[in-house]
Amino acid sequence: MASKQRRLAGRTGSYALLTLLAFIVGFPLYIIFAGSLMSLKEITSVPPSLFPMHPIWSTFRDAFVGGNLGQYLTVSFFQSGIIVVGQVLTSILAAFAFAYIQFPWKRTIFVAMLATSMIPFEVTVTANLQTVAALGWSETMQGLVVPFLATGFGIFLLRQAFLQIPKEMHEAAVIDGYSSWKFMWRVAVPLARPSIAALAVFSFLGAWNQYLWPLLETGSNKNIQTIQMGIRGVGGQVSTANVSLAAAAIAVAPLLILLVFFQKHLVRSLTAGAVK
Amino acid sequence: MTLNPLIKILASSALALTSMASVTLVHASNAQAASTTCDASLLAKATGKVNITFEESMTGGAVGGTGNKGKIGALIASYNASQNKVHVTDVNDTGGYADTWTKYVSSIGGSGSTPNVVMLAQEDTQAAADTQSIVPISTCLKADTKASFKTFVTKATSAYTIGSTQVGMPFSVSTPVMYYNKQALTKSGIKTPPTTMAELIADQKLLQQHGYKYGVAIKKDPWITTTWMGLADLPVLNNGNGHTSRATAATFNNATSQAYWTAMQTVIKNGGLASSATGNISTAYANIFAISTDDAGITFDTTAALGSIQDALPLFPNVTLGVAPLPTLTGKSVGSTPPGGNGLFIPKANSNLETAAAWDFIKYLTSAASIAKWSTGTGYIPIRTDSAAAWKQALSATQFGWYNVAYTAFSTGKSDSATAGSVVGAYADIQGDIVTALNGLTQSPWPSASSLLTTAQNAATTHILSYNGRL
Amino acid sequence: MAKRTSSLPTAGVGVFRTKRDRRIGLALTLPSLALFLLFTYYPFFKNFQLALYRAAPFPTLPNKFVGPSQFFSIFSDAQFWDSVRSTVIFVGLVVPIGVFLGLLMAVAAHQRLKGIRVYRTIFSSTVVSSAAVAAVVFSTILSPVSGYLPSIGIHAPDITSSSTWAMPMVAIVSAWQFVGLAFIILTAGLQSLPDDLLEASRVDGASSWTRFWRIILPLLSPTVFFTLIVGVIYGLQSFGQIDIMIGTQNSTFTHTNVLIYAIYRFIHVSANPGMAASYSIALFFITLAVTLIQFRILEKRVHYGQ
Repeated sequence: MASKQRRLAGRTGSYALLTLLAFIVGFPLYIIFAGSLMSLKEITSVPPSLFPMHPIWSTFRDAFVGGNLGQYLTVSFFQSGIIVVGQVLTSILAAFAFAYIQFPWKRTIFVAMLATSMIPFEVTVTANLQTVAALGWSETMQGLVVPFLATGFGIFLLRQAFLQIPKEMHEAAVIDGYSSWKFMWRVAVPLARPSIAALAVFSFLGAWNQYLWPLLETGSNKNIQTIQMGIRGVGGQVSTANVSLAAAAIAVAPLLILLVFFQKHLVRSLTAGAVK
Repeated sequence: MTLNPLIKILASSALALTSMASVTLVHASNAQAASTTCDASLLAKATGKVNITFEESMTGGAVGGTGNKGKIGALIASYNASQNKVHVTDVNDTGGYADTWTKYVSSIGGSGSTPNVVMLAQEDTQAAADTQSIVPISTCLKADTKASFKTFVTKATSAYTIGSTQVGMPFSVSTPVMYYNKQALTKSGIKTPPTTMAELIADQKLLQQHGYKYGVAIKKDPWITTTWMGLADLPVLNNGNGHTSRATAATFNNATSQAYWTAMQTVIKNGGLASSATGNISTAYANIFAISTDDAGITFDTTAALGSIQDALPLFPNVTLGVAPLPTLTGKSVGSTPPGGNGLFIPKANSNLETAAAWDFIKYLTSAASIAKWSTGTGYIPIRTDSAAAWKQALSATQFGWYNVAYTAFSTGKSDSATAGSVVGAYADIQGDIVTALNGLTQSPWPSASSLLTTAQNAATTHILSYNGRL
Repeated sequence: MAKRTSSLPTAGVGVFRTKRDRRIGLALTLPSLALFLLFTYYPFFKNFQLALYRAAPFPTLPNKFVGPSQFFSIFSDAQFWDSVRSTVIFVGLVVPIGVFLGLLMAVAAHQRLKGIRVYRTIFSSTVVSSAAVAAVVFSTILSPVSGYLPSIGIHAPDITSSSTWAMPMVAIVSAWQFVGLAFIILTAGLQSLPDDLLEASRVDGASSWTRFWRIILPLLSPTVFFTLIVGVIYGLQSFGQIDIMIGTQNSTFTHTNVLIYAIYRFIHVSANPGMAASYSIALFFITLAVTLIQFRILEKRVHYGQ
């Protein structure tokens, strides 16, 4: 039937477009993994080989050992972990207050918190370096993470999530004599778990991929330098492109795993009324 | 979104917090130990070991090999083993001279710890002096009546001297040389490597006719230009290249530099490779890689790369390495090659005992035996004439053939402020100005060398004046 | 969590209102507030003070008070305007490419096809790459030494030395990184559109093109608008790619010295917090102006409701 053919043609067309887009967007990520297994000659030949025929696994060893990536990865997990916990906690507390409690200056404080997303971090970085130095936290882990323990975006996101909780639930809670604190931890947070998970993923992505602040704040203290500094160092020290790609692959792998499992959550968290 | 509450909260936080600002801004350097003497007797009297740190930025080998990083480590270890008063801990920076310098400046500002001895690029000499945080080597030289440094090549010491004060101790000297592939030249019918720029251009054509795509690879490195200036006995800055008194203007725009630049431009216009001087190893040494892939037969680069080049040579049977002095305009030079490289500095942040220990370590590193060892296989050349014999013995005949080119160029010839290298505070900016001009020189629409050098010199002078104005 | 339109929450009004609750409410906001005051608002205002001093090149020497002249001097500095121009071009490349591709991918993936989840993961995957990672892989792909560009006939020079190629290359890298985020946001927007309306238009036989332009896009416009804002802020803050691919020595010549990179160079290379603060103040006002303009111009074209 004509419409069936049309649907088939439409579907083929859709797949064609999807595949083309996937190729365009996915090509660089593919190269990170494929290129890290190829020899230099394969990368520099014209045309370059697109699939590692004879995978060279030693690039990973060279990147990991030569670039000391094990330490950088550990530091990054630690740094990102602290930031995630901090952002999730402070956002839960503040978002809940905005969603459920009436208190003086509520609107002013809310606006002030959201407004922080408008101030690009780079605009504050000069002074922040001096503040951190004045606190005695230069080149320390505290100085690296503390400025990022709060996030306007997180407050916004979780407030939306809390607002989604049906009226009946909090009406019942008030009747049952729940205090705000009890309601927050017993009812609101468990119900908002998907958004909290999404916030955690966003926070982790952001913290893991930070570049400017770690670069400036860690200075010469290698013990607190993150994986991003590690990649930068590999690029400079070890000579070859495939080893740099291996380092990049190592840095990206944890995030990719997160993304595969949580991609749906990320989208869902934004649809909880947030994006309109 | 009402503005009023927002303004209120912003205003109140501003008022409340800018008071804290004034406290942190005028915060000068913390009261630290400030060494003023370089007294060896303190070291002799000390009970127990003095621990000091030495910060450097040598890199490891590119293709296996331990490279300069391994060799400095070995020297440190042998110092530690040779005596029991001082223990030196090596702190290696992976980001090169710039990294070490940035860390040093941060440390004297209170963030991070200041090393007890620091290896800085020769170009950092003026800035180091301006920080007012360095114990000049002159202090140690005056106090130490026993040590003698008469066998040092004068230029090496002058490079680190401002006025009558020697600020740093020379340690490593490298100079740009001409690298060429003997097989490529033979194949193209070139009997001897070029000694003039005109010959270079002619040889490029011959190489290209015989299958070498670029013929010649030119690295856009300001250092090559400043070396040519030294070979012509012309200063690149006023006030004795900054040695007599603080430089206040750049002077590198003249007929000589214009002639060199026009020649370089011709080489690139004729299909030569113009490669970058910065970036990771494959970018920064693209010119040398071009020789290994038979795309070029000749290039200029630092002797400091010889260590890594040697390690990689067995992989390229098509290359027989030759080293020759840089070609000049006339084939002769009235000046001589200025030294590049790095030197050793003692921060004031030390205690007097630490400075005494640092001086002892520096004397070891710059002893005749150590310099001979250090110059073997690193690509740095000896800074003392009494190291030359041991150095020559340690090298194979082929290696000596390579290194001796640079050593001869460095240790002979005129010795004055123009050939001692320049000292200026804002050298990174000045290098940037020259790199910008070199980038313009090597691309269409091929602006004239004189216009580019004029612009670069003006920009450099502006940078010098703005730096001086901040002091 | 299902959205129940019948019980639109009224929680915002404040369910808990006792005195004790009010104190708890304030206390709950305190951690975030304290952090914001200390690390966002205080430094923001401190910039104004830093800009009043001409910084000595080294921390061991005193700073000179010069008043507002330092800030106003940047407006007569050609390098400042070059940075502004570079920033405008950069953002002008990154945002449209990112939003356009993101939108295309979001619409294409908004269908019930087999294996669509794989496509969606690939489309959003660029969010995992940091500036450093993106710079490493694109350095390899775009390098004149590698075989990728030459095999499709493009002979581009080394990015660090070409004033014509450097900006487009860096913009492509940034746009690629942004595309994943744009896709996620736009997909969320698409998924929150009422399905019944979309189904009805499909059954009505409207061509895909008309459907997209007349129905989907207007409904999606708040999300597109939001994505544009996020994109502009992202573009103004993009820094890592330029640092790794081009570097502080080459950014002036290649005209990639965008404002944020100029600020970094003032902090890190010339140790000049006075100038860094001056540029930061300028950057903030530019960001503010651009966002306000966006609100002005674009919000008129955004269709809220149906």
